[in-house]
Amino acid sequence: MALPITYDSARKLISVDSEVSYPELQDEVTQLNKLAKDLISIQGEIPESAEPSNKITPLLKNLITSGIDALRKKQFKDAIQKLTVAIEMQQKRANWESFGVQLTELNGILQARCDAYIMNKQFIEAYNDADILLSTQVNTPDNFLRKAIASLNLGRLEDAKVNLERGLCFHENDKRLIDHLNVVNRAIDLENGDA
Amino acid sequence: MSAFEEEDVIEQVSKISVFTPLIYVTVLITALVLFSNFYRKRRFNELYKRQPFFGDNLPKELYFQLKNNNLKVNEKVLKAALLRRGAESIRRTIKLKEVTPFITSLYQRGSIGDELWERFQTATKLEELEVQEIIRETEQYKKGWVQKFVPLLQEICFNEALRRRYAAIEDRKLDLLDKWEIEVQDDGKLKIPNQPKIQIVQGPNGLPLTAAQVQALAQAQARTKASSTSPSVTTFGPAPPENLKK
Amino acid sequence: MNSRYSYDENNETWPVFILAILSVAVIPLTLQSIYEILFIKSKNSTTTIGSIDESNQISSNIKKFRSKNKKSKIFNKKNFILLIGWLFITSLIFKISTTEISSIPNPNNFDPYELLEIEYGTNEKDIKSHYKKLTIKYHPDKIRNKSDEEKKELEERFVLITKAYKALTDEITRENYEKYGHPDGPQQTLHGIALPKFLIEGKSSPFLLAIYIILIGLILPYFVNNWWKRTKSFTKKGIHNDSANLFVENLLNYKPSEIVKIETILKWLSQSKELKELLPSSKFTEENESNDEILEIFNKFFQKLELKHYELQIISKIPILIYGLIDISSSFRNTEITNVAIETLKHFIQRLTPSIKNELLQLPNVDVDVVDKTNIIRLSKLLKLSNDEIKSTLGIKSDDELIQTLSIAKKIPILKLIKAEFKVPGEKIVTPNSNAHISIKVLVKSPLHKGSNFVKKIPEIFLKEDESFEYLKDPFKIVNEQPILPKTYAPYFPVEKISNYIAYIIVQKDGKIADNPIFVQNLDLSNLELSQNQFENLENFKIGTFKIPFNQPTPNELGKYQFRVIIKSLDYFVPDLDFPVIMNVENPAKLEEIEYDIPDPDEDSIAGALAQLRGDKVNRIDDDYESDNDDDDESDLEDDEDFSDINTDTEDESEE
Repeated sequence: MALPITYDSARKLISVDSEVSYPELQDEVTQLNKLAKDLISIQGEIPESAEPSNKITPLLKNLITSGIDALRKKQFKDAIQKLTVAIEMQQKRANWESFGVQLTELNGILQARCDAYIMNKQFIEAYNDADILLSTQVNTPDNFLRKAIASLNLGRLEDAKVNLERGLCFHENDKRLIDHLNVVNRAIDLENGDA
Repeated sequence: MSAFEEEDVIEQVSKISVFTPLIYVTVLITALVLFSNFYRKRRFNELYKRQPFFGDNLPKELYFQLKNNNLKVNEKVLKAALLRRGAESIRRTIKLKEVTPFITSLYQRGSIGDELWERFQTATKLEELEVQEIIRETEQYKKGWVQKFVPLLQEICFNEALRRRYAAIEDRKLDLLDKWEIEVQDDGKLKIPNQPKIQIVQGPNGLPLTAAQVQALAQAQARTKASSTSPSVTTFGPAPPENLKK
Repeated sequence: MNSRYSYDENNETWPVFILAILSVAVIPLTLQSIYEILFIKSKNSTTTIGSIDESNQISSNIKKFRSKNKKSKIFNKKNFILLIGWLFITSLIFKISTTEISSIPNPNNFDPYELLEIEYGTNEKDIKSHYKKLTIKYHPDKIRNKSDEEKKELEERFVLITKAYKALTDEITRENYEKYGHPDGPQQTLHGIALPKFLIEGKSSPFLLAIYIILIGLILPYFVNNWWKRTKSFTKKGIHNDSANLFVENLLNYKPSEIVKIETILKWLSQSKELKELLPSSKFTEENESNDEILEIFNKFFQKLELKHYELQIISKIPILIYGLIDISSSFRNTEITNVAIETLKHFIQRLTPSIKNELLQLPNVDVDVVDKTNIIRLSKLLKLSNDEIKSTLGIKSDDELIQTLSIAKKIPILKLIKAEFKVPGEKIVTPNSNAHISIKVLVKSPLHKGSNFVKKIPEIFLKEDESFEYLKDPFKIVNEQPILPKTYAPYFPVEKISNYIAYIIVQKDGKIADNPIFVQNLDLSNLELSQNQFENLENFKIGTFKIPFNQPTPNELGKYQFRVIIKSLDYFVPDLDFPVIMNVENPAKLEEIEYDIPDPDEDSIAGALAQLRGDKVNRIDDDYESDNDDDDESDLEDDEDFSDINTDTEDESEE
């Protein structure tokens, strides 16, 4: 079976033939083009190790600092925008660079962006960011709190309860989690007409 | 008397044709051969028709197609394709390892049939072959690369997964809104079905509270009046924004 | 030795033979049937506590399907066959009893005692005297004035009597008798074959041979093969192997980045083999077409359109398929798919499409468009309103309808958690390496009851479990002793269903299912009948118990292990029970020390409070970021964990 692709030797790019709709293949080709581009841009024949490149680090640091500054100044929209650009910058790293480092970078930015979303009352976006944070198992009390607050404000009281309880399993005495759980439980009772 | 009888017996035996046992044996053997042929053919067809355990291996197909392309493909593009093929193979190997205990227990409990079990075994073997083939392929580019190549595969596999997870945010958002029946109003605000009018009340720290939450909060505080709750109880953000100004 | 075959020329033995075979089959089956009629019936009767009468709501279509499908206890196929069996038996008995057994004494049935007309074990002296009497009676010389035939018979008789006497007194004849069953020594052996003669004789013998060949050569292998194929093509959970394969494939290629929806599960179900086999056109359509056809049937069902018989059959197969899916998805430890699969089942049972208001929409006489406008989503909130408010919230038109709606609504059980803990039978704590289970005490309440505060007031004594030897032997007895749940109120589902709950444990660390779920059918619903006052005064109220076995021994290492338990109704839209449980594995020897430790201020809490005082968010984010970049050591330490985490969480996604 021949895949419907064309190779452009001048630009060194692969493209899926335009007349076919094959989203899976399109995804694969996009990922391959990114890797090929990253590979072409390095000096050696293949990357020597998974050591992250230092080219991106200072740029990334600047973006994050300015994003957090905006958050400090309560310019939430601005902060969200800057942090989103920071994530895009982070995603420019080549895929062979250490996953551990990349994950912590991404999570760091996501935490700040999630808070900015919460402050800006964009709860569904905040929920999504918190979801990624927890699905990569960064089980800090803050992340549980982030997801719970987003859930609560989306009317998902049971979700909020589950997340707070889960957080409390690992951080038994976290006061913020306990207090929020009390609030959520009262809200659930109200919703059930049980209060 | 006995002699006479014996003669009689001999006569009787000679009446059975020499061919009788031969016919018997031939019929028996033909039947068995036919059966085994039929069985093997069916089994072969079953194996042939057997669905692969995973879906199409697109990275692998892409690699082969680029390698055999009429136009010469840039070597780094080829290497990238090989790296992705390796990453896919790592992903499948990890996945197979992860599900082995699940499949085993399902099979032992009779929750899945023999066919699936056999398919799983085949998939495991095929994946081992695939890894060996990738290693051979790598060595064709340059001797001694395997040591540098293989550690990168896992990074690529995980990083690509993380990128895809992040890229899925927008779809997830729409799906969640749909699932939770939350409407996005013209002004961008969300309309939540169990709280029709979201009255955003400014919390003490400038954080949004809904009416129900305020009420809940008030009651919660009344109940736990004795325990001295810190002001941060009322924050709906991980920390009060005032602190940010420090 | 000579042997000879004799067929049943007088039709004496073969009826007996068939009678024996028939009775072996028919009698036990009849007993089983009688048992079912008498005892099983009471289990499902409408008098079960908490049952809801749905007879007014069922459409004629469903009624017809149910009565067609439902095996009547008395008039069913099995009983019909049994009846025919009994008819045969009686006619055979009649035949046997009317057939005269030929009185000609069979030389093979030589019984000296019978011939001499004496009891077994009579002493020699009496035998002698008896023999003498008989010889006088039967001596050929004494018989005159008889026809030749009678004479001959009497002579034969006399010879036999003499032989019998000798057999009992003479040494040699006695030996012969004991060895060969006859005083004259070895006789012809006669093999009786219990087949009527007409089958064997002449023309019909090739016919019999043909029957034999067909029976043993064709029919038997055919049925064995079919049976074997069937057992092989269905899993132990009763779903088709192909469906099980399909579910496994879907789980294997499941992408955690995608949200699992009811539609996702519907799509999987529509591909299952057993549903396709029910389509009338199954042999002619393409794979994809039949998938679409089944999806279309689902759609028709949810749009409340009238379904044809085969379509209802397809819908009625859904529960078993979903149970099969849950079995596989929980084995794959997939929480999300398991949750949604359970929800899908509920949507089918109540014939409702996904909606956040389903707690209200599951009630009868409800106007969907009116409900759409309310912000109430919980049944228990609704029932605390006044009747008029309920009427306007649900869009109910008449008072009669309201009464009907309320009578159903108040009987939908709602569970409240009272207490949940890990228990090792016979121990006060959870010891390492022992068999533990989670014991869950719940309060069953009607949506009418206010229960939240009440739950906290229930005295501890009520929750104590019997610690007797019997309990230790079977800690689950207390669960099974509770009454069986009633039939589900599900007037639109083609088949009746007994209510049940599903309970499963999730590991908090990774959020995945720990073990296969358990299904619970025992729970006392008598609380539903109580008034709020009776309820709060602790009058007559019952506490329900769930127990979930923990299938592995408790960990060897002491410490805390965090779990979450979900208990869902498989019938109604009600809030799930969803709560954390911590397994605290302690060493029995250090029990006192640990108890002493508890009142001490927890260091963590102080540390936590201090950290909270210190901590502000921005700094923390900075810290996070900087430490990640500056402290390579630390992030390296985390690497291992992260790798394994992403294995299960993200790498699945790439299969597209």
